[in-house]
Amino acid sequence: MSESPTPAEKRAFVRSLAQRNPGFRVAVVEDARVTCHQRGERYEFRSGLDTLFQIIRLMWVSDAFTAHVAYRLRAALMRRRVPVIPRLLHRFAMRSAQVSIGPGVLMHPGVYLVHGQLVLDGLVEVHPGAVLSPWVTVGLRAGNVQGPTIGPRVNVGTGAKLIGPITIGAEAQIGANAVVVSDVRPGATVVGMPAREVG
Amino acid sequence: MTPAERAERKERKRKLRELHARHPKFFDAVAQDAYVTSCHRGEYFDPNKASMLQYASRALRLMWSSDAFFAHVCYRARMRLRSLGVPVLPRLLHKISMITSQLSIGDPVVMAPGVYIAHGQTVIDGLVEIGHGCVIAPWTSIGLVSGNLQGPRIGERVFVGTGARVLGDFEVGDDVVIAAQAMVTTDVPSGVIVGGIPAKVIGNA
Repeated sequence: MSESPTPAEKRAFVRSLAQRNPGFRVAVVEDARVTCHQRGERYEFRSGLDTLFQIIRLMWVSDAFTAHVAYRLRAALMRRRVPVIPRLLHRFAMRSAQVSIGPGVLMHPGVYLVHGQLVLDGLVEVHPGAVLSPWVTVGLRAGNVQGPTIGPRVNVGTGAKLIGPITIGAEAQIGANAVVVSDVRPGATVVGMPAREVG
Repeated sequence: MTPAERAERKERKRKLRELHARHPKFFDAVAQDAYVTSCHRGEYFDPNKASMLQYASRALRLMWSSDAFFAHVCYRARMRLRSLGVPVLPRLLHKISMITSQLSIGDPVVMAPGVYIAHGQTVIDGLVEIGHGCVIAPWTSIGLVSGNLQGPRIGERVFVGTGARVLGDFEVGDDVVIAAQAMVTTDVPSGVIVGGIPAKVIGNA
């Protein structure tokens, strides 16, 4: 039987999680690009100034982008071990678009949050190009901190729940209101409760 | 910018203006919303006998006591300002309605006067039409499937249950009940109850 980790070990573990977070600038630029692409807008930015302008525009016009940027800032600050401010940014993200993303989540640059209203927690990994619709929960099964791994360009439909240590293959489609509790093959479409493959 | 791009942009703006012209007037919409919300909350009043002042006091009271009515009024004000071409303010009102009741209703949505949003927590986006007397429960999404901007057209007095998803290009008839957690992706005839993933007819309303 293994001994339970000491508080120092726990802290070191949390810190090691924060170390994986991407840099703020890279992440936000890539997120902006993917968001523009998904919104059917121009996504090749001409210059640094254009990029900045597009980011500010998206924060204004897109429902969840402000919260998304707040999350990115929080992740970057956590990596630099800044105290207090990350928690405030988390509160802000929850207020502005109900985006609640836990500290154990590794979100690669280039993820699109459609309207917000989502909960991600646990040791979750989200690969680039993933689209997360509203009312999505990506989380844990009781007694296991390992959460889902969402592959590149996965489309998670509105209200879907992804629970437990599962892997969603690249370019898979998760139907609306699906409850996914097992692995999904790359490119597959799953729907229902529990989710089954269709098509 | 090429002439083709410019023409396309002009066309899109014209379509948007047309869409905005279809939004109801602010006072009409809020009065109807207050009436429908009151009825569903069991506070019936006779719409023919009520004066302007009574409507206004109703609306103010509902903004205080009903979870989503304030956000709903923000939405109505926003759409009116949008159609008048006022800048900045509509977007701020949108943020307020998102913060107060998690109510996110997109610009292209046309909502007839007299809709009851029970607690908020609703996302509606795309070219969606919602008829008079509809009830929208929390955690619902009404909107698009990827690759098509046309959303559902929902008839009158439709009840959209908790957690229901109504996604895609189709029509929902009048007096329909959409059960909790249902996922509706095809046409629904009038006067039925639909439920399940994907939704099937399970009875008559």
